[in-house]
Amino acid sequence: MAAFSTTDQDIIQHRIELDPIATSATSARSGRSIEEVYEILSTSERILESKSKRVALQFPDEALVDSVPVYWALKRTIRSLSREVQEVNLYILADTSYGNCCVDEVAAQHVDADLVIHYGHSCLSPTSRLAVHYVFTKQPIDVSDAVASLKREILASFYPNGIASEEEGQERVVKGSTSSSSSVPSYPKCLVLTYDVSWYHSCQQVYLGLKAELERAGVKAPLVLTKVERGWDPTCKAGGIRTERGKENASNDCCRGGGGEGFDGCSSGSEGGGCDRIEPDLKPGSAEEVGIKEGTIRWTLGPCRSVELADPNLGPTDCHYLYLGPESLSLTNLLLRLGPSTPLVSYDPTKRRSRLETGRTNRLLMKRYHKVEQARDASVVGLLVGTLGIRSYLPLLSNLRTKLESNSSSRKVYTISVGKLNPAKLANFQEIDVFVLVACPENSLVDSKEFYKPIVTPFEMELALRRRGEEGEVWSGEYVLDLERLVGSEVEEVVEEEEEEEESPHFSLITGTYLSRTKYRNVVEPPESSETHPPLQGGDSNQLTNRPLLRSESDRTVAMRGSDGKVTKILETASKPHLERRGWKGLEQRLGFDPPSLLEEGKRGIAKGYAHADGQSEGDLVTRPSRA
Amino acid sequence: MVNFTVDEIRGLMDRPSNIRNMSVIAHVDHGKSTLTDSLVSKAGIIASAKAGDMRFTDTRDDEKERGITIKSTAISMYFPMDKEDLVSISQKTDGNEFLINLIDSPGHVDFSSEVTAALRVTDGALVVVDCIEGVCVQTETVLRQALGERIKPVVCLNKVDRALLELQIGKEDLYQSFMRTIESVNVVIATYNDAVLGESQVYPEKGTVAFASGLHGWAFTLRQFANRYAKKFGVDKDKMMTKLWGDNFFNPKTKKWTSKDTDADGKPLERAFNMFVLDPIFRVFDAIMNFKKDEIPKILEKLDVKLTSDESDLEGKALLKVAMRKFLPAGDALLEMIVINLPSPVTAQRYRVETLYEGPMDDESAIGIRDCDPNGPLMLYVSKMVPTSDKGRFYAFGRIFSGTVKSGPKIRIQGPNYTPGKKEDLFVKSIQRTVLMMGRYIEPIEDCPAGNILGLVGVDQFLLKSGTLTSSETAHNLKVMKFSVSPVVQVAVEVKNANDLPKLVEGLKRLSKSDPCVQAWINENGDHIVAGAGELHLEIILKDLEQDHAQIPLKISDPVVGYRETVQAESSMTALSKSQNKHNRLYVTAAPLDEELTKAIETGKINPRDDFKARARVLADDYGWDVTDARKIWCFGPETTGPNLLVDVTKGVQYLNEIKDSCVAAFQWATKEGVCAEENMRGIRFNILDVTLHTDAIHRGGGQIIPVCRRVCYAAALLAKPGLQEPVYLVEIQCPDSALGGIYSCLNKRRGQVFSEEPRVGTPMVTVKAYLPVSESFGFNADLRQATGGQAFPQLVFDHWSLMGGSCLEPGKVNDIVKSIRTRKGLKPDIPPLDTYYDKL
Repeated sequence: MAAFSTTDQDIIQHRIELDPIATSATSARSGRSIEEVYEILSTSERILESKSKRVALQFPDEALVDSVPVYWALKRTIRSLSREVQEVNLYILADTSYGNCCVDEVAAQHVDADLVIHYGHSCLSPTSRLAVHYVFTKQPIDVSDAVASLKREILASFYPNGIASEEEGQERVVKGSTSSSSSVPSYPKCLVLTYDVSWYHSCQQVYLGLKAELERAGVKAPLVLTKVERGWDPTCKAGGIRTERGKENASNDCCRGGGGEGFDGCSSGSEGGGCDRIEPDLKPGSAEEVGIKEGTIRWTLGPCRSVELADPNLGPTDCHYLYLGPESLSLTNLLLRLGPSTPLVSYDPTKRRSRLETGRTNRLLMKRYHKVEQARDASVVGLLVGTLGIRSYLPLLSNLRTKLESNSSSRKVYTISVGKLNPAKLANFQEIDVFVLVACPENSLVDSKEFYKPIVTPFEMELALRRRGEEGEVWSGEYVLDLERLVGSEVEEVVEEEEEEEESPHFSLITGTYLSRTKYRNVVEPPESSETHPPLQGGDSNQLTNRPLLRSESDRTVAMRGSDGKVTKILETASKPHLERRGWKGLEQRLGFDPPSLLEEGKRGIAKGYAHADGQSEGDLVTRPSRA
Repeated sequence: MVNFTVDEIRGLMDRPSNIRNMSVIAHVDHGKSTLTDSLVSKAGIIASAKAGDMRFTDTRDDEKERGITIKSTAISMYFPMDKEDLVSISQKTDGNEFLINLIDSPGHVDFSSEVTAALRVTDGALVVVDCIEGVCVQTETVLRQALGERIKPVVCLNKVDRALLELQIGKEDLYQSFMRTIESVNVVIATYNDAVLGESQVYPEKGTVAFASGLHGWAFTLRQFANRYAKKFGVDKDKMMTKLWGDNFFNPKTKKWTSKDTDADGKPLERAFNMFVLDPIFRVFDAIMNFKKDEIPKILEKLDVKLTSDESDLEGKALLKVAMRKFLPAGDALLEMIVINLPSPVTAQRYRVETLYEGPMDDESAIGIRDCDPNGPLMLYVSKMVPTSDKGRFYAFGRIFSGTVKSGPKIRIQGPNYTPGKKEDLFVKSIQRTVLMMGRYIEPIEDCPAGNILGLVGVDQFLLKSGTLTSSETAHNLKVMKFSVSPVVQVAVEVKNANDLPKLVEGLKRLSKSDPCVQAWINENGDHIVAGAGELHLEIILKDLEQDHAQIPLKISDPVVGYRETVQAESSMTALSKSQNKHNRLYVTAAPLDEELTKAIETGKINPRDDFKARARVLADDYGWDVTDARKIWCFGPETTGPNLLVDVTKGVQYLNEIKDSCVAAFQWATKEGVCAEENMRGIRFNILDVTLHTDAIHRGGGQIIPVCRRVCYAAALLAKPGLQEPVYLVEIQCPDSALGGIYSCLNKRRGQVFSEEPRVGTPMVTVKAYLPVSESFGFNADLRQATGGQAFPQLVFDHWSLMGGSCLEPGKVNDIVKSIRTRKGLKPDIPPLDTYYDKL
């Protein structure tokens, strides 16, 4: 057995790498009470309110140590609060295999749960089926230091010439042009304070402290706190505002329901869940954008995270940002979202220092640009399933597949699910030129040199699909990580171009030479079969179940025989040319080396006991002596 | 007025034995374009008065401003020859009209790639040498390239007027100087000559050397003078020519020829060359420049030179020009030399086919090329792209070696990576139009048969720079050109306005089309990189990019030099890495390759396509390899051809063949991005000592092996005293000896090493040769001009990679460079420690 799988020992000895910061915040480590750290009371209320019968508690690896105490604490509290007889069943879940920020819907569905309580860090991506309640980690923070440090950095970075010159500067900007504020070192019109969810518990304190401090310093720009939605219910059809809102965010007077209206049936998914700032011609007055209060504007800053401003004329790019939290994927994600021209000051509570995040975004975007170009050159694309929980991953996968296989692209697409990515897994698919990782915004950026082939985000793949010279072929800082928005960016199928264009090679910026991609046409259907295969089920799995039959006319087509022995379809496969390029092709044929010999009948049957030509079975051979 | 029509040219195209395809090559400033003018004016394309000043083939504005040629320019010309002269032509001819396709090429080293592209499509070369400066570095380079392509040279010693007017040297000294120059040309030719080409050395007495003043528009070969004197002496013309050079003396008293420089009485005799050739010229110069008014008409009459009345009113240099031009018209002398001595396509292709064609010598394409057969399969090589007036479109400029090309029928367009039988890099398309390249103009023609040079419309979107066009399905490619310069200097360009990015991308594409040597790509960090041969080259191409190809404002970074990573010792212990599933172990060591061998791989002398047994023999005999090791070279890398080797030295390892593909893939990856600074590796031999593999195939698949093989290569390199190699220029500077001090101080400041300093006999000029690291060369030109008061003008050409002292791992200069490269690339500044790649057992 050892030949086919690693030994059990490995699993037991396997060491999990834990994030020390997250570990230190657990109740077991920090010594704080379970009730406090895991918000037992409010969670219990939430469970009861939702009338859930089965609730899954999802813990990150770091917090698993606390899972049992939390379980008991919740049980206890619910019992004491509930007047009903029926028990609420609680189940403990670990992370998904992709990362701890996403909700493991599949595991939760195994126990038929109707609510998931997600503990620890979260990317707040919307789920498709289950209601979620988030309980964030509570990381310690020195509020007064944060306020002081942020204030210092704001004054130094955003007001290099002092507050006094602000008036002047503002006027200049207004007079000069209203179109762009990025060219001149502009003074902030508005400061937006946002934060890592681990500091959600103290953001209000920092906000109030900083607001007072800045007012004292004479900064005129208003300071606004972003709001985070702590729960998510895909079944809720309330339109704009979720029913629980009042309760959950009583103190925070908050937001529109994340991507709530994405579910009211129409195609508003793109506008609803997405990051609105990327609409270049954002119309502040449109019904979509105006929030509850008259004269205010609201836009979202990632899933379940939104900002509400008093001045409807301000767009997301007009603001300057403050971020509370250490360097992390969330920060990178936010920076990409905002683009290189939007200034952001971050305060790292673990290191207790602030800094202006400059250049980083640009450099990151440039690196991604290289990957886009690599994707442009790719003929064979692997779609990597990196999430099973996010609402729109299935539509996105099929959307991508359609686009990639369309006539203008003609790429071969394989959909692959390998769990957590590692170089060894992906290097097994050598014929694939580029991988597209469909995952939550925080996990989809893979910036590692260890992988044999580049991994891009769906957005980057879509960029690469645009033809040169086409509108929007190059993105100028705009970066979309939300899957929802990408699904929305829908199929405007390019009209068929003339053959001529199609066949000419393109100039590859990676190699600096002309490159003609291998074009893989869609399935060529033989006359008999008229059924069309749905994109996600068609293709590869069929290839495995049916016996492939080589066709001579093309070097990369494989024909399939149906059960009736007729050729049902012809597939183009990328594996065949790849196999031909390889030096080693399996067992040697040694044609012409061995002398010809008569055919002999060999073993027959199944591995458990082969039957030999002489009628004895292998099992017999062993037992025969005793019988004799 | 142009004294020929396109129809006449088209008519001649069908007579390949009367075609001469030739390029004009030389060191910078030796007078190629000026001399070309004389031929162009003879063809009537420009007025003869303008010849010498106009530089008709310099078509670009910056070429005119700077006075240097940047792009090679082709022009087709029609000339009738005297029927008498036809007898001197040893090859077959057909009538007395000739079509000369001439390509004027740039002389500056930075543009050598243009020369290479020109040489490919021509059969002969006119090598111009400044008779004062003599053979310079670029003269040697272009000659070497020409001979490598089996191109027959003839030589023209230019600027004879300067020798007379400025240096004021005597006849014998001038003769000696000529002789030395010709000798040094012949030394170069002898060194690089290809036996198949036959005798290629040049001799004045055979008419393969001309003496000229391009500026004044006169030139002669000994044939002209032999013509004059043959009748007078009543001897055969050819015999007369031999008398006019070398140690041949004429005793005017006895009217006898002798080979001694004294007569019977011991009185010195004058050399025949001086007496019969130089003397008349000296006398014309003397009379005109010293304003001996009364002597002038006499001499001119004696020389059969008739001036119009306007012309006789001229004085001084102007008169000299006119008189000399009438006496010894440059066009005639050069034309004669070219037509008589350079091969026609029919002659040349017979011996060039072996160096031109990649396929077997007995297939239809090879036979078509060999016979220059207009009815054979089409074989056409596109050597470069010439921009059209239509922005973004290009004429494909090339030579038909076999068959006839015309618009209409579908032909196969084979890119440089095409392999017969495969579909990669192959397009089947028809040509839209065929045109004749006429310097600044083009003339459409209907079709064009073998042996000619032409431009094609409608091919540019399928070929980036060069390629093969053919009608035969079995045809292999015509050999890809090998350039003598490599793009070692890089800059990053950035758009000032983000919306211009698409234009930049399109601009980069056009730029890399328009220049054979330029490379443009995006690096890992997303920077757009443009690489060129040197500072001047970069300056020109960046200007082109900004003003022509992209037409947008650009930000340009400081130039950056690419380094190479290497190792300086054998790995101190065997590197071991385990695959992710811990079931496979690779044991590898790294060791430096011989510099000789590294170079042999880089020049393609040893390459992955060789038969492995033959290669093993060469490695064993010439480079001291063990034959069994040499037979087990798995691959070259990076890009499968690079100068690093992966060698299997294992003994009896099971399943080893199965992982070879994975190791090869990993090796390409590892050698492309070295462990220290992610630069290419160079000159490293990796030995796979032992391999432990899982018995089950699924656990030793590519996924497990590729990452581990890459890691073990890195570990082995880290254990082998990793070092850096930097590119080094060969610098040649000609200057008066007074400027030497400035040159030395300039070089010293920049880590330059002078290795040769040769005074040029008979002149106060000194030729200094030195090595200068490319990284130190930026601004060298300007510095040198300043330090020497503008007297020194350097030529820098990439010469070799030089190992920098010190290890990447120990603090010091090399380590600092590594850190700065890593920072630039956005990596962590420190080299990853060994245990990132090395696993404990």
